[in-house]
Amino acid sequence: MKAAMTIARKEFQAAFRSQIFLTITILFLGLSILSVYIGSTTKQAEMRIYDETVTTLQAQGAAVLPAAPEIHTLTILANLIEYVSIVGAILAVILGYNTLIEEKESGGLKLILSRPVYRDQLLLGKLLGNSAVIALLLGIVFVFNLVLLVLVGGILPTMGEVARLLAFLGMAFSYMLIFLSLATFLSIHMKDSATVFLIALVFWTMSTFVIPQMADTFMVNSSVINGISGAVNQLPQETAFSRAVNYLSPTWYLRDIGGQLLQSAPGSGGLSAGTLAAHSLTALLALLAPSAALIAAGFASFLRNETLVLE
Amino acid sequence: MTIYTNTIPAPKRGHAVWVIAKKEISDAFRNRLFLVAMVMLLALSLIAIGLGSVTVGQKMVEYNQSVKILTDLGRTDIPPAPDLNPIAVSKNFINYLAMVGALLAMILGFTSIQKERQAGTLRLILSRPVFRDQLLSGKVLGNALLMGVLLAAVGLTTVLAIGIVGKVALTGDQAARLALTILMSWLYMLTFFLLALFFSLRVPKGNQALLLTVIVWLVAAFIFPQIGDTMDLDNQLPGGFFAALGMDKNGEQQALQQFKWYETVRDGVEELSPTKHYERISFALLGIKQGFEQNTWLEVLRLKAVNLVGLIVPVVLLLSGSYAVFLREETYQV
Repeated sequence: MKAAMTIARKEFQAAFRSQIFLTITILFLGLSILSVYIGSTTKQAEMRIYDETVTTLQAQGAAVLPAAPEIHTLTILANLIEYVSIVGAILAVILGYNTLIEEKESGGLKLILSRPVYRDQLLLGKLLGNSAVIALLLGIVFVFNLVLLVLVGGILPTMGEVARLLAFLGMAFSYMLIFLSLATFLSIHMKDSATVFLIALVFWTMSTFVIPQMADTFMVNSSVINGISGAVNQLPQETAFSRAVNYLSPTWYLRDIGGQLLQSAPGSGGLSAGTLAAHSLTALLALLAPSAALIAAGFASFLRNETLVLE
Repeated sequence: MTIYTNTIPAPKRGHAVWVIAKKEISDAFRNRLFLVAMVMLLALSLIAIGLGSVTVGQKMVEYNQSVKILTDLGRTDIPPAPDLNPIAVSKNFINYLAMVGALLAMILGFTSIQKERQAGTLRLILSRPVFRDQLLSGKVLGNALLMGVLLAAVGLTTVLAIGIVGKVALTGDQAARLALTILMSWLYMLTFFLLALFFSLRVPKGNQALLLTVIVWLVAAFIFPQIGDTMDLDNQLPGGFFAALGMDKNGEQQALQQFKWYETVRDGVEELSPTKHYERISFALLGIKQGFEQNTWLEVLRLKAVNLVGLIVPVVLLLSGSYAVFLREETYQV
């Protein structure tokens, strides 16, 4: 275990020496700050328009008033879901795509494996080190968002809200782990890191855009008549088939549970703690399953692969 | 004494460019990653177009049945055919191209230079009587042609699917709108091809060039539109915020008057994204965006001139930047 920890420490330090990694990290943290500001400003504007509309309708003697927009404390942080699904995933790929290829190219892999370090320790160390980087970044995002919620939003979150945010970041970690393990798995099998990166990018595009877009095609529109204006609005509704398509996308799980935890999905504010915990557990398992499969496959092939030493 | 000179005649300018362009096209079809992304894009587009055409066909069948019933009843007041807007079947194609198409173009742009660097053939080519501008022109031309043919095939399939499956013939204006949408798609793909090409030429390390390209793509194609969407007040509730308050378009405009600065910032952020420009002009041309159904294709182009400029400017800048970098770069020969 000591050898694995040493390798993990080295991986952790190496990540922060990469300029590209630092650039995308700054982008990720910057966006999380921006999201609080934008979220807060948009919600304030919405409330202002709503209040003015209600005042006008009351003055006109309207009997039916529109329902207040569902704005909860954590709704302000809802942009975080998209930033994790987009920038967070790419960040994880950047951490993993070159993990073993760099060592193969520099000859470091042969050197390490000629020392008393087992292959499983090496791979474990690399995964632990990179996972620690992801955990650290999400930890910074957690602190940043709480501080900004107080400073920019002027809101002191309750313990329940802090727990929801923490649970979301747990989901974000599991989601990013999928892309880290995918990139690491590919880097075991391939010689060219650019190809590893591009293949991981194709998978990410499928998960984040293509599958949800296909699922949208199978949704049906239901007509809702507005009680005040009488206008008919079309609202997209999920079907069994569109949901089944979405199940293929890890990003959909993150967005779905993220919407519930950060209270941006309609009706999520009223969910009981038990229901939310059950939903979170299901999503967590769905998000951990691909990582578990990829890591297991990665270990199986890395332990049996002799060509790495012979090359 | 006879002096023999051995000189290699310089090939004709156009010939060298064309040879390089042809090689680029044949190389692309040997790139497995490109083939995977291309098959993915084509399959998704064809499924989307096919499903859309089936819907159009069903509506036409329903209309024809109604006409037959009315005729059998001896009625003469036959209602006009429904306005189906058949070219709207390309809506999902636009969404897929915005993501997968850009990725495909970046793969082409990156491998175009990277393959030569890895094989050491860039030095070899430049040691022959081929000028740097010819080499770059050939690469741009070959890949631009490849993307053009790919998109033209999708456009042609759309016309055929609408005609055969949907049983609707396109009018001249609809055909022009579809052709222009394909042209916009080509400009959009060209932007990301040139972005990858520019970074591959500018940054000597292949991996860094690729990562920089992807970061710029993320910011331009996802982050800016996402910020814009979040700042869009109407986008905060399913079905629309203003519709939920019972407001019509006029009421919405009035309410937004007091947030003019906010809307200006939102629009400004979105204007920075080629993806937004592409979506806006394509959705207007295809008649998916409300308010452009009655305009001719020329009027739509005029109304959406800002978006057209937004698609052309990055192409011009990146192309000029690529030439400037490559023509001045001496390290390839060293």
